[in-house]
Formats: sequence, structure tokens, C-alpha cells
Amino acid sequence: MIRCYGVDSARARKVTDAPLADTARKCHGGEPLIKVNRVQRTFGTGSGKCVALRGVTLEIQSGAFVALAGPSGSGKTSLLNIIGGLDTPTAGAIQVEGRYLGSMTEAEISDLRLRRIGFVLQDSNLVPVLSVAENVEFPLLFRHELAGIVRRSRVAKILDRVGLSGKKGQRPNELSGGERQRVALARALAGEPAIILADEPTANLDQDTGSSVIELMRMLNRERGTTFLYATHDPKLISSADYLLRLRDGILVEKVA
Amino acid sequence: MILFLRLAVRNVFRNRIRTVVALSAIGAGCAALILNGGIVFNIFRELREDAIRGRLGHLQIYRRGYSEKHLEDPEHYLIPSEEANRILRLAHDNSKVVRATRRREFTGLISDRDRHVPFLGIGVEPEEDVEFSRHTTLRAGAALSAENPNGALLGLGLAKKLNGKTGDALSLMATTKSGSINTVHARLRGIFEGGLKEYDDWALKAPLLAVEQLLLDDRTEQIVVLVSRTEQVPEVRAELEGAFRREGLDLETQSWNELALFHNQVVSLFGRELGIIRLIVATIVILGIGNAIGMSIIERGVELATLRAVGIRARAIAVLLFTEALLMGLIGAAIGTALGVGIARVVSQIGILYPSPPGSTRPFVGGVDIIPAVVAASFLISVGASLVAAVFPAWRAVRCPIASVLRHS
Repeated sequence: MIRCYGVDSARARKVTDAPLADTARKCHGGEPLIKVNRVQRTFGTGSGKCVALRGVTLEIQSGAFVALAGPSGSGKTSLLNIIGGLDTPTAGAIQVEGRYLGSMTEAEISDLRLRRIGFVLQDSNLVPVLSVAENVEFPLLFRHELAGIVRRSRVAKILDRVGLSGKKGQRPNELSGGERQRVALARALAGEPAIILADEPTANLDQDTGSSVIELMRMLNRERGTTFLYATHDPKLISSADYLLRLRDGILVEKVA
Repeated sequence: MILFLRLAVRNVFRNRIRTVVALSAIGAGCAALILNGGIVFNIFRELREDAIRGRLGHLQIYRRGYSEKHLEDPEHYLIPSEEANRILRLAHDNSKVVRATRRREFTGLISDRDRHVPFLGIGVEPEEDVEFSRHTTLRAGAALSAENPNGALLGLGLAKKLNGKTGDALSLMATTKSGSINTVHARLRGIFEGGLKEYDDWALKAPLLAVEQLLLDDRTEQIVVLVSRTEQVPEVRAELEGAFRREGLDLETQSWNELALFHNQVVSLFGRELGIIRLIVATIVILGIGNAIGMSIIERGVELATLRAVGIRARAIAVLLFTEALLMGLIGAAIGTALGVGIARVVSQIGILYPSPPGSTRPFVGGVDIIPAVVAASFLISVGASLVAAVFPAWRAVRCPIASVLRHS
């Protein structure tokens, strides 16, 4: 089964049972941003064997705002990790921007994450000894094409965008949970990636803070055209999505536009 | 780059207790290496000076072939008086030479009333010999004097064999140049301890004048030279050999380290021991800091995995961890160097009373030498050990599957 979700939320529609190439052309007139083809992921062996993903296939076009829902253990995090190159599938193939992750070296995948994919995790996992601005700037240090002045300007802009310009000198332990998550989002966005993969970004936040993070993500998606794929249990975050993918026992069971 | 270094510095001081433990391990290791090296080198120096200023001098000058063949034909290798004076003049012309003196070794029998004991005699110039006897302890009586040409000194062991006391009359018997037996009468002027038991059991020192009377021969066996600093010996040796060649003197020289076999054996033994101690201390430092760095990396596993998740390469993470270990090593080694040098100075002021070293009869007060090469080596070993300690934890941190670390967090 091949599914494709379009780029423009206004024109977005669900396409089913169409060949991959045709579907891509119908959706975007080009290659999809992410292609997941019959991906399987198994952990352990023998009696301890656990199948996290059972032949998941999907395509995501540029600019989509996609929620990945499902009960705990349904394979959401595994799928995000595999798309982001943090994990390798037991079988199947992943293409990001037309490049097969399986044929890339670890360093090339790291570079892809550094430049094209931003990660937001359930816990912000900020570096506690760095300030807010330093946390956001740190990954950019490894983008050698960016001069120091460009990096700092980007950091200032993105912190302003997430409403934390007044707290750029503070350490993570001086921030609230929502603020920390916004710093993590700023860190992911500072590299101006094409894709943001977020694993339950509002799970540890109260309702109001969670809502502000959702609004921020949505706004950045609309303004910058950044593609968001996020795993969530949060009904608000599910309802904000242009597309909903529902996983159960490692199988993609529902796709809603 | 500045931010990268700032992160490394802040990570080093992130957990202060752990940092203190790690720095203590490195510092203590570095100080231990400096002190161990300093003590061993102090003992080496003491043994060296014992050999030089107790028996051998820095350089000995003989007729060519003496070292190999003088036992077979001792007469052939004696230096006539006039030639000996030329050699002494040439030696004194060298500004680095502090003292140069003639010596004549001989064997004979010493009698004290009814006892007859063989001895190994050394004829020396009393005024010059003072400088060559600094490491000789006078147990009884007085040193040799030119004003008392018949006064002889006995080694402690030899004096015991004769049950001799200062002032006792002695008869020295030896074979003369012509092969006859000659006797001179002397007085026991003093009893000395040279530090080496085998030497003290047989040695007799007498003024050269008395020895010449006994042997009926004014030839010299060797010229012994003392230079201002032991390190200058090779240089002075080359200069003197050049001067002898120019003067047409067919001589050979031997330096103290070619003659001091016992010293060389001890240095070789202790040198190996020092190497083993270094290895043990480096292992302790590696284990100590390895534990601290390992804990720090394990605690930061999720944070490091997150940095890799946002695109920072494993190699960059490894560089960060090695930078932290390097900083820790540099700080710890600096503390250890200050500590080691400080303790060495204090201990040297107080002094350590050592028992007699192997083969020696004399305990001595030593200290801890501050040897720049040992300090530098200790510093580098400590820093190196810190880096080695980081290898396994860093390897684990960068090889750990990111997804697995994040999943288990």
C-alpha cells in the first residue's frame, strides 16, 4: 500500500492505491520529501523477539504537517528514528530528499540530520552547562559554511521567533518545561531544516504550555514551509495536523487527511 | 571553536565532586611519579658521588693498554715521574679541572706486633686527596697530612682485622721494583669508611712519599682528575685526550662510570624499578580517571545521544570527550607537579635518613631531587593517562546506537 500526503494544506488530499511515481507526481509534481517503503523493524531474537514495524509504507511531501498517532508500543518512535537515520530498518528502504539512507555512511547521515532534518524529542535534553543561546548555536558550529556572525544572527532570530529572546543567557535549569521544549524546537529549527521530526513534543508539558508549542510548530510550518512529522498522544496536536497516520502493532492502520 | 572549548571546560567542572576525585587521582599520580623519580635519582646521585669522591674521581689517566693488561705486567704501565708531572700540568691547564693528583696502587702485608694481614694500598698526595675523599667518613683519628708522611689510614674492616687503634705502630711490607721485600714503619693515623664493605676490608691509604719509600720506586700508576661538574666529564675527557695527543703522550683515560660497576648495576636495577613504578602509577591514574570519565559519560549518555541526533558527528563527540579528558589531565598534572615539587623541596629540607644501600656500609641522609626531565615525563604521563582513560568510555559513547540510548532514557 502506498500513500502520499500533499504539500499544500489547502489542496491536501488522501491518495490511495496509486503507484509510487504517479502518486508523487499527483501530489507535488516531483519526488516526495520522505519515502518509507515496506519498512520492518525487529528488536531481539528468539522468544524475546519484538516486532516494532511490520512493512510500513508511506510518502510525505514537502510542507506537510503530519501527526503519527497510536498506542504506546505501536512503533511511532521506531518509525521516526528510522526516518531520521537514528536507527536502521531490519528490512525495507527509506528515502529522504531522494537519497536512500541505507546507502549512506554514518557521517553522511549525521550531515543530513545537521542540515536537513531537525529532531525534537519528548525530553528537551538540552546541554545543562550551556545557555539557551549556546544550546541553539552549538549544532550550527559544525556547519562550517556559517560564519560566527551568521550563526549568532540566526540564533537571535529563532529565539525571538519562539519567544525566548529575553532568556538567551539563561541556563536550561532556569527555564520552565515549556520554555525548554521551545529551546529544543529552536535548536531543531536553527539549522533551517526541511523536515522536523518530533517525538511526543508536548508529552511532558501542561495543557497551556503544550498548546503554545503546538501553535508555534504550526506557525513555523505555515511560515517557512517546514515539514513536520510528529508522534503524539495529544488530541490537540492530533487535531492540528493536516494528516493523521495511525499505527497499531507496527502496522499503518489509518490515514486521514 | 570557542563555544566548543567553553562546553568542554564547563563539562569538566560540571560535577565538582567527581572532578575533585579525578583531579586528585591525576595530581596524586603525577606527584607520586615526580617524588619516586626524585628519590631514585637522589639515591643514584649519592651513589655516584660516593664512587667519584670516595674512590674513583671523575677521570683516571693511565699509560695506554693499562686497563686491559696491567695485571699481567704492572711494571710496564707505570708512568715515570717527569711524565706524570707533564700530565698533571696539562690537566691543571684545563679550566674545568678542579683537582688532579697522582696515585699508586700496590699490595702488601701489614703487621701489628704478631698479626700479619694482606692489604690493598693506595698511595695518595695528602693535600689533593682531601677533595677525593669527601664521601669517605673518618671513623677515628685524622686525615692524611703531608707533614706526617708516615701516618697511614686503614679501612674500617682492615683496622678491625688488626684490632688497630690510632697511634698504633704498623709495619708495611711490599715487593720492590727489583723484586726484594722492603718494609717501612708507619703509624695508624686514622680509620676510614669508604662506604663499600669490600673496599674497607682491604684498603690502606698512605702518603705517596711513604709508598715510594716502601716500593723504592717514584713512578705513578694513575693520575686521577676531578672536574667541576660530573656532567662535564665527557667534554673534559675529550679535551684532555686531545691535549695528550698533541703533546705526544701515549695515554688512555677511563671515566668514573666505566669504573663504577657497582654503581652501574644499582642504577640499572633501580632504573627498571622506576619504570615499573611509572607503569603502576599510570595504571592507577588510568583506572581512577577512567572511572570518573566513564561515570561522567554514562550520566550524559542521553545528552550525547541527543547531540548526535541533532546531527553532530560521532567523531566530534569523541573530540569533545577527549578535549575534556585533556583539560582534566592538564589541570590534574599541573596540580600534581606543584604538589610533587613542593613536597620534594620540603622533604629535601628535612632530609630522609636512608639505611645503607646494597653493598654499602654507610647510611646516608638523602632528599628528593627535582629533575626537570622526570617532572616533564611525569606531567606527560599523567596527561597521556587521562587521554588513555577516556578511550573506552568515549568509544562506547560514540558507538552506542542513538535510538537505543534515547529509547532507554
